[in-house]
Amino acid sequence: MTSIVDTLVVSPVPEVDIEEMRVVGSFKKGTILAGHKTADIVLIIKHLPTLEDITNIQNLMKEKMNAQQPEKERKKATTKSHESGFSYTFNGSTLNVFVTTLPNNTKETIDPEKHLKLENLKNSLAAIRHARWFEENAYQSSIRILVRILKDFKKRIPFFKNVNPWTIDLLAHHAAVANTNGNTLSVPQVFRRCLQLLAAGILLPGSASISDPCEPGFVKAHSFMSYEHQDELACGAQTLLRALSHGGYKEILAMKGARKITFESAVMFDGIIVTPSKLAYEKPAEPAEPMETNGS
Amino acid sequence: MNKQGWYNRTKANAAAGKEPPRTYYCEICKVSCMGALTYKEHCNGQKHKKKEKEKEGGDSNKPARGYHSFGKLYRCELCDISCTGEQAFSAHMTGSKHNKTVLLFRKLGKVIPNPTVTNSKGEKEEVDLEKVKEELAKKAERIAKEEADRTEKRNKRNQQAEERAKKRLEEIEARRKMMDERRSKWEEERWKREEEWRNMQEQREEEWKQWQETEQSEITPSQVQQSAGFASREGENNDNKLIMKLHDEIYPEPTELTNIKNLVKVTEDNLKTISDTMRDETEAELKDKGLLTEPSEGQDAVETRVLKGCVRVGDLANGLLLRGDKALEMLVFCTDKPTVYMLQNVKEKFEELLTEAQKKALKVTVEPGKGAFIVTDPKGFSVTVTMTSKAMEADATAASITADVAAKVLDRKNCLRVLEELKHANWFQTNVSPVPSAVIALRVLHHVMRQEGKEHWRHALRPWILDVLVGQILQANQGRRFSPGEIIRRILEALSAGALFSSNSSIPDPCTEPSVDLTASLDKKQVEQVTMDAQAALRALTFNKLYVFLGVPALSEHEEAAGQEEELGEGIDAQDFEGYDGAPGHLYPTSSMPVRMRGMRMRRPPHPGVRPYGPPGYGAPYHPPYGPGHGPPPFPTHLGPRGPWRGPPPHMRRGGPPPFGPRGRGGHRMRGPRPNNKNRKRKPEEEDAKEDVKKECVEKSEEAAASGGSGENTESKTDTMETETA
Repeated sequence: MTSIVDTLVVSPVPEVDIEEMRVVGSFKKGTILAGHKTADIVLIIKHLPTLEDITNIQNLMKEKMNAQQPEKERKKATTKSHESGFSYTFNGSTLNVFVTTLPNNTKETIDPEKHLKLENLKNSLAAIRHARWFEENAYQSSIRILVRILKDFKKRIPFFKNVNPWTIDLLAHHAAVANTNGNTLSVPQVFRRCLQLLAAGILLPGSASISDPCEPGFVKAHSFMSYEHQDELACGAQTLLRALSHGGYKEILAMKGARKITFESAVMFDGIIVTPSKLAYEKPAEPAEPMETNGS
Repeated sequence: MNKQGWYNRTKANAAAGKEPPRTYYCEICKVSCMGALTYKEHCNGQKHKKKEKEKEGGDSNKPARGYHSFGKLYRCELCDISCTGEQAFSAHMTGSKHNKTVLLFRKLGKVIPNPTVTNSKGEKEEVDLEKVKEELAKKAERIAKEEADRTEKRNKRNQQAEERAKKRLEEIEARRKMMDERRSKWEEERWKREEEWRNMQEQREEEWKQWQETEQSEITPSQVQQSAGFASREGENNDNKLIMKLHDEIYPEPTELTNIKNLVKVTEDNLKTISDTMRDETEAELKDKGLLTEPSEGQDAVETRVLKGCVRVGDLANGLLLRGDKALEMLVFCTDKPTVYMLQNVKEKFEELLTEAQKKALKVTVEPGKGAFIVTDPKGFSVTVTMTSKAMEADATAASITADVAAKVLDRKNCLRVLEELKHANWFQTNVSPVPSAVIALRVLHHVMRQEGKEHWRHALRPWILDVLVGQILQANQGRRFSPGEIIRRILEALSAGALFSSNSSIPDPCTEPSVDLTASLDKKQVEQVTMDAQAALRALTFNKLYVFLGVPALSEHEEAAGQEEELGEGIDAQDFEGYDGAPGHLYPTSSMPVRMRGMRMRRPPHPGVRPYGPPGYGAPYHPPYGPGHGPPPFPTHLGPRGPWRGPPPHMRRGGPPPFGPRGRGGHRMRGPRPNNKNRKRKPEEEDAKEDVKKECVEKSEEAAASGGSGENTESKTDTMETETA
């Protein structure tokens, strides 16, 4: 994958003036799960990108990559374009390329017809910031391990479905680092602490929460999640915590030899029945306004 | 040899009867010799012979000697000395050498030729000795004066310099003091200002939130959570209102309170009287037995007071009584282990002390099983007074147990339990009671726990554990003002995070040493249930459903909108009546909950802005303004507006100059060749020394002028005489 990445850096082509290229996402942070064969790249262009730009870059990349590869394998590569960029698949591995522009340009007016959506641009820029922050602050192995575990939860446990990966990063970092000693805790401690924090409602409305270090001002980590998601997450965490306290770590982590549980029904641990918590949030009867949610 | 040495000798010799030695004078050499022997030797010596030769050689050469280009030549015929300068000549003429020669000549009866001055032309001039002397004297005077002036001036200068230095030191000290005062004052003021500012900001935040609620019906969570820098929620005020509403309902009515007060007062007073009487009794007994001795120094007095004191415990002490609570608890301290007999005794005495009216009303019963006696009110209020003693804390050996049983000591378990409760009550008073919102929250929680379906709460949370949790919460957040809603939320958070699970965390008991883990003794099932309830309650709370947990109906819209304008808790009066041993006895402290909820209809408060306001530590880091015009910052800065901090200015350095050598930062030895001190610049003190020496010379010459003899000349002359004779 890295070879693919390197080609784009040194390519000042007139149609497409690339300012910068950054690798982002779990590939960069080193928190990829097994079997997840996707890397993300963000391209920063000097002007506001349009759909044409995307196709331009796409084709250019295709050409270059094909030029590099031996003849046999040329046809296997495919590209797909989507709203904020395109993805390049090769041999089962995918490279997602997001196109965005310099932060200054985002303040200019955007023609909705031609240019890409502002939201997407901002998201891509944020992704760069996240990757950078993670590299600088959360490089400890315990944090990375915890992030992977939480991502695994996202797959297996229904309560965790809607969690934002960035929220996971922040949470893991906070759990590991923010304590009175200033030491980074070990993985089991961090794991328990993470669950404790979630169960105690760090991501519920009204809590002081974790401030997002990549946003200006003071933005809470859970301000992008809807009420229901927050509730779900807290609920799941609480159930897990109780199970953990009764010695059910094997089941939680789905280790070999443990029962397979999705925690949607009561399970017995060590003689005590652990019932999953019920959701507490009910949507108000008359939804006055559609809730604005920034994309995850 | 002093000046008049040889005078004395001649006199002495004359006095002794010796012959005075003759003085021989050699005309050629112009030298006088004492005694024939010396004269002979001189004649045989080299000098004499030389001079003879010269004389024979040529008389005419003499005047030409040393003559050539000097101009005037002053010649003294007597001493055969020529001088080139007038000063030297006058010095010679007034000096000791010349005087000696003159005297010698007089003695020998020779003629004294006048000193002559030979001109360059060879003519001779007269010299006025007297004038010369005068001038010389004047000059000496002048020099002396100058010296005196100079020393005066120098002294003056030194003095002035000293005074100035002193003044400067004083100034510096005064300035330092002033700066310190100013700084401490400034810091105080600053702290006060910060506090005020913080409070004001908190208030502003509240107002802003409320304004938002009225103007905007539904706000997206992101907006709400972005606007505030610290924990805040739309419904938090509603929570507080709900809690206060519930609290009003559960708080004991005033009549109940008065009942309780009276009952407790009666009990305590009577107990005090009983204690006094018992003390008198025991004193009398001991006196009879002769055991009552005067306490000597260093020994404690014999403890005669059997009942040491009574203290309130339990909910009564903590102020957590609720409406309808009728059972109060107190305990009585005894010096020795309390026995059944003592209990009976006390009860009887108590009954005796009751007045007629009281006897009809109150009932006193004894329950030896509980180790207490109970005073009951007709309305059902009862005070259970348990007897205990510190002696019960001692470990029980088999022997002591049998002894206890024989003496019919009260049940040990009860006594210990009550002692524990006392400790709990004390701890509560120090840690939790000062925070009125905590007390309110606890009352509400107690009420909740008593409801049906919450038995596991009661069992698991055995009020002491709850108290300790609250204490921990308060300790972790010192200095922060909590509303009851916040405290309840914190408690629920703690429980949800598994505070009761012994595998998760431990709650150390602050009253036992070493502290016992309170979670270890809990039943797991109950803990599980409590935690689950707490977790559900927490989430409900965050979504404005606290009323479900509290078991009350939700606030109606009217109540939500209305602001609470009454001061809360005015029905409580805090009376400090103490137990007679000084135990704090106020029944209920004034719960002055900070009234932050004002009327809702007010003008729009200023927008707090995206940047959070609030106590520092909740939002973006707080940068107080500092720089010119604001005074020194209260913390040590490493980077100021003018660059990195280099330390205090020189006049403020207290420890002295930096500990580097005189050659700078290289330490005591710099690299390079060894320095040559030969031509180093002298310090001013050495110059002064030179001046002093000069002064001495001047003084000496003064003396010489005054005494009429040239001290130096005579000295040198005697030296030469000595060397010649030796």
